[in-house]
Amino acid sequence: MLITRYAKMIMSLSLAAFCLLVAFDNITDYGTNYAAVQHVLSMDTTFPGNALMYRAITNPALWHLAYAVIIAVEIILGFLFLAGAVRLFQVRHASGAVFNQAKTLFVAGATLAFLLWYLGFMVVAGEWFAMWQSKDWNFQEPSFRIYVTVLAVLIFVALPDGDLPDATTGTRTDRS
Amino acid sequence: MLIVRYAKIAMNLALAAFFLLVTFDNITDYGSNYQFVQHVLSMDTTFPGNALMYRAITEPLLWHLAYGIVIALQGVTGVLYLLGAVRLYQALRAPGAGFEQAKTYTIAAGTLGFVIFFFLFMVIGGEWFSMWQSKDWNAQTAAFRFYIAVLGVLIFVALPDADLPGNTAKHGTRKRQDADKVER
Repeated sequence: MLITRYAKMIMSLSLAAFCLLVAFDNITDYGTNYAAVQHVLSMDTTFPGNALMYRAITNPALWHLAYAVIIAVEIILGFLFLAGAVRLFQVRHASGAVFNQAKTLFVAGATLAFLLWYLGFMVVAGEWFAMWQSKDWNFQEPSFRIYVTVLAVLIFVALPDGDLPDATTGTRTDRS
Repeated sequence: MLIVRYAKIAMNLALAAFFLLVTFDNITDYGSNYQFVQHVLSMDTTFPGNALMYRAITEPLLWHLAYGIVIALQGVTGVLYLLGAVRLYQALRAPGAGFEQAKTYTIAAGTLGFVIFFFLFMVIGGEWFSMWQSKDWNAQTAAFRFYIAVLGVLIFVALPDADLPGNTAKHGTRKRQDADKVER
């Protein structure tokens, strides 16, 4: 159905807007989230005396590097989702098989987004750097929201699209 | 399966009830969420000295306008869900293809619901107006709960429905009609 195809483009565009805006904000308002990276990597607000402190990174150059990698991935994500939406738009009237093929960029974007917010934020930051122990610098909640959103949209977009019915078929099926 | 079709209709009705009730409450209890719009758009509870304050909107007319747009979109979404349920009910015993065709309104509703609570609340409210920085006026968790319900139902409803056991005979009839048309 055409409406389903448009729904998939709109969701891809929304995710593109989100990633690009977050990247833009992180660049122009660098300090706000840099503080977060700093606290998470240095593990300075985890439980006192926990046995995982050997993982702490206290070199500011590495904080900047980690933050820059995150921002770079967000930019790549924004463009993947944008390009994904454009690809879908280009084949919106094509056969189901062609439309399904055109999902490559979107699926790549969603996978990378899952890796950033699940692997990067939940596994590496949350568990490796024990961010979960911190009261003030714990980003598990927002990360969860983002990757669940990405996952749900991914599942919806990945649902196979059939051929579009021509006008006559549409009317007939509606009547039955 | 008929039960799956009923499930899809029931969920459409539940979401219609949610959106219509929210719309009604926002109109009759205008002030409660108007405060929210006001604080988010004016960015008066974001981190002091953040570099994004140039985005703040302090004109009350624009607060009313933004709130009006959100309420209108919520109302439209509620009506679309309601129409979606009605259309699905009309196609309840249709062959799979016919039931598929009847999903237009519910998919439109799901998309608009996602646009309201993800694009407007999370992207525009949360990121552009930095609502995430606010301790007291942050609607991210609520918005997340809303659009995850919308998305979950959308995925379920969009899953393809097959013919019902009783549809084979009807299929035959339809094919014969098709053949007639072709002959004519």
